[in-house]
Amino acid sequence: MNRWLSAAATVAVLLGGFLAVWAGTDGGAAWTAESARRLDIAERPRELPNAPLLDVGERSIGLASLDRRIVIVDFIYTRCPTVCLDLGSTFRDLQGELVSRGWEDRVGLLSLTFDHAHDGPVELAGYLGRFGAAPDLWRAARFEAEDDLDAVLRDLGVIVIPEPNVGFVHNTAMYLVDRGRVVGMYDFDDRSGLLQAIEWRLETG
Amino acid sequence: MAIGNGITSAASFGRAGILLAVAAWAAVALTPFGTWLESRLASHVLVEIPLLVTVGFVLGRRIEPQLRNALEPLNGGGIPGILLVTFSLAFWMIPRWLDASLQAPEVAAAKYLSLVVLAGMPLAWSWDRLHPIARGLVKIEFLAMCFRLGWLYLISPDRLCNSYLIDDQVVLGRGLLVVGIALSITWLYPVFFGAWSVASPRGQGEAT
Repeated sequence: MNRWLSAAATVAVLLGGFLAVWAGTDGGAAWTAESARRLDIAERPRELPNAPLLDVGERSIGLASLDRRIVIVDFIYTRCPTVCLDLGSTFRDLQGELVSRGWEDRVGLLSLTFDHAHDGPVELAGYLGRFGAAPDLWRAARFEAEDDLDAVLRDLGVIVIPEPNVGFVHNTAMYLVDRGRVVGMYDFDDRSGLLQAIEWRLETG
Repeated sequence: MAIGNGITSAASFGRAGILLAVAAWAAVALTPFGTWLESRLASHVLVEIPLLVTVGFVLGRRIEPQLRNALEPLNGGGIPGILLVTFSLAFWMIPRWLDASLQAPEVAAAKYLSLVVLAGMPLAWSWDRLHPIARGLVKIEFLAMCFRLGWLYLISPDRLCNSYLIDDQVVLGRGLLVVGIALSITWLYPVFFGAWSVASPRGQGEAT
């Protein structure tokens, strides 16, 4: 009898174990927290809170009520010496793409700083200037309240770790926001994927 | 686990063992000591996790008479138990859940409990019952995991955990290789020089 009990227990442990790993990785699709959050946002688009932001002209704008239907958002800090330069030039290229496709009145770019203590309007204006941002098309802003910043970072699964040499290390992505809802997350080298998604959204209304 | 070798000699722990185990668990789960261990990927994986498993192992030895006897009919040959250990360890090797244990308190609690109850304790209840061949298999698989994961962490160009720096990942990779090499030597040594040495004539080994 013991044999059968043990055999049953073995089968149960195997099933339970595989099930746990299967469920814990979304069926093998997401082994890292990064892929998990992308999958999660793609499957369950989430509303952004309409948190007040201050742009470089110190005008107050609402995160979820911008003047364009689609906004591509990234998180930056202006002191960033390395990766963010790539991010900045990616946004610059995107800006050119938007203009050449004639989407500039429907699609905008927004760089949000998470370096709340350091980045003010002057630093952000400097950042935009460095990459030749077109006024109104590519904006940079900071959250008025640090609590709002923390809440949005948490909601999107952005994790920022202070690092002694470069300032911060963070998981980077471009966030596709459609009518105030985050509907997708794209790697910085996946410009074509992002543009395709925007095209599809603009065409299907 | 690393404690595999001392298992047969560690058949009994005193009351002090239980107290020490509970104290170690409380220090990891409830005090800044745990947070400190978790501030680096290498100490998270190579110190905290083995520590929690050891706590479970010690407790498993002590509460032997009650729970172990009750579960014995289910644990034929120690196979279901060792599989449970394997899955529990494997689960916490998934970068996503290691990350999550830092972000969500309920996941952290699940980690602190499951490594004790679903890894350490079944290890204590199953290791002695395992057939020597099965033990060898578990050891080999454990070594292979150290080398595979170590290599993965060393060469991965991406950060596997959002909560840790890529430098940390490399440190863990090296650490896993070191653990793998050290365990290989520890486990191979008796094969050549121990009581069952392959070099000693039949029977003579037993006498020493």
